Amino acid sequence: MGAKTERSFIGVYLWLCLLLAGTVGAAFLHLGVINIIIALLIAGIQITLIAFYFMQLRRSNHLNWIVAIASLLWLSIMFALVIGDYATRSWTG
Amino acid sequence: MSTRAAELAEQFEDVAQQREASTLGMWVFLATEVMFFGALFLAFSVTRSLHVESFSQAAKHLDILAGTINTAVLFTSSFTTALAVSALQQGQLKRVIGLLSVSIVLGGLFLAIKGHEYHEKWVEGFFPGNAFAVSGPAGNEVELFFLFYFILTGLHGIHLLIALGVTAVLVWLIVTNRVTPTRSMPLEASALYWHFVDIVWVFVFPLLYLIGGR
Repeated sequence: MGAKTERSFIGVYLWLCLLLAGTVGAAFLHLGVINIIIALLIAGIQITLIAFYFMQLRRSNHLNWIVAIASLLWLSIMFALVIGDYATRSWTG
Repeated sequence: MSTRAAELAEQFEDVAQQREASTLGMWVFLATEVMFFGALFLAFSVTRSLHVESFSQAAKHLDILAGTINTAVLFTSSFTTALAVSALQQGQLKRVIGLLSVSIVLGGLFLAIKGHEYHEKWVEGFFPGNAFAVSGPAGNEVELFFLFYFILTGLHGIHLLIALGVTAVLVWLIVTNRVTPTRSMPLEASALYWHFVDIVWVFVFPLLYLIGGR
């Protein structure tokens, strides 16, 4: 790691703050369900930046990638099953 | 015993393998933390979808300014922590200590602002339990929202408190020369944990403070 890495940290930090301003600003617009999509999309970009740069995932051993992706995969299974249940409870035959 | 041998625990072939094992172990631990917080986020999402209107109303009672400042404070602390790891690997020990101290101060600032918010919510009667003072038909649902608010931010706060403690120990280990540029894994691992605490907040903040609209 050297000067180049530290410059990338500065860039990531500025992006994180910019995205924060964006997500807070978007909360004052009344867009209904799109509000939620914008907030989650920005949060997704922010955690990707943090994981890839601050947590050095981009230079990391690929075993660490497997662990990170597996945790998201299992998380999405849990969300899909539970939300699938609640979303379809009112369905009648 | 040479310095190099002392830096390598006997179960490892070389320093690179030792570093990989340390980082992988931390990522596996963080994966368990993803499941831990994930379940809470899921419970919140489902409960919110059942009470959209009252959860949106309840969220408007949160202090969006304090939440935004706290998010920026955490981003800054992650930034200084990332720089500290880089500085340690380059052997700039004084800079490492300085950067980690800034991270600790910022972590403390986050908790102080959070504490201020908690106090406000307590005084305004939003703390679930006997002190809860919202009446009306939606009162129960507002109480449910604040239950999630205190559990999510409380568990996050405990994680941050642990990260603060671990980082303080790391400063001590660096000062006493037990964590060095060639044996930097303990700081790398604790930095991963610090960034993870940041990531949890990146979801807590919009879910609680923002998505109901303002």
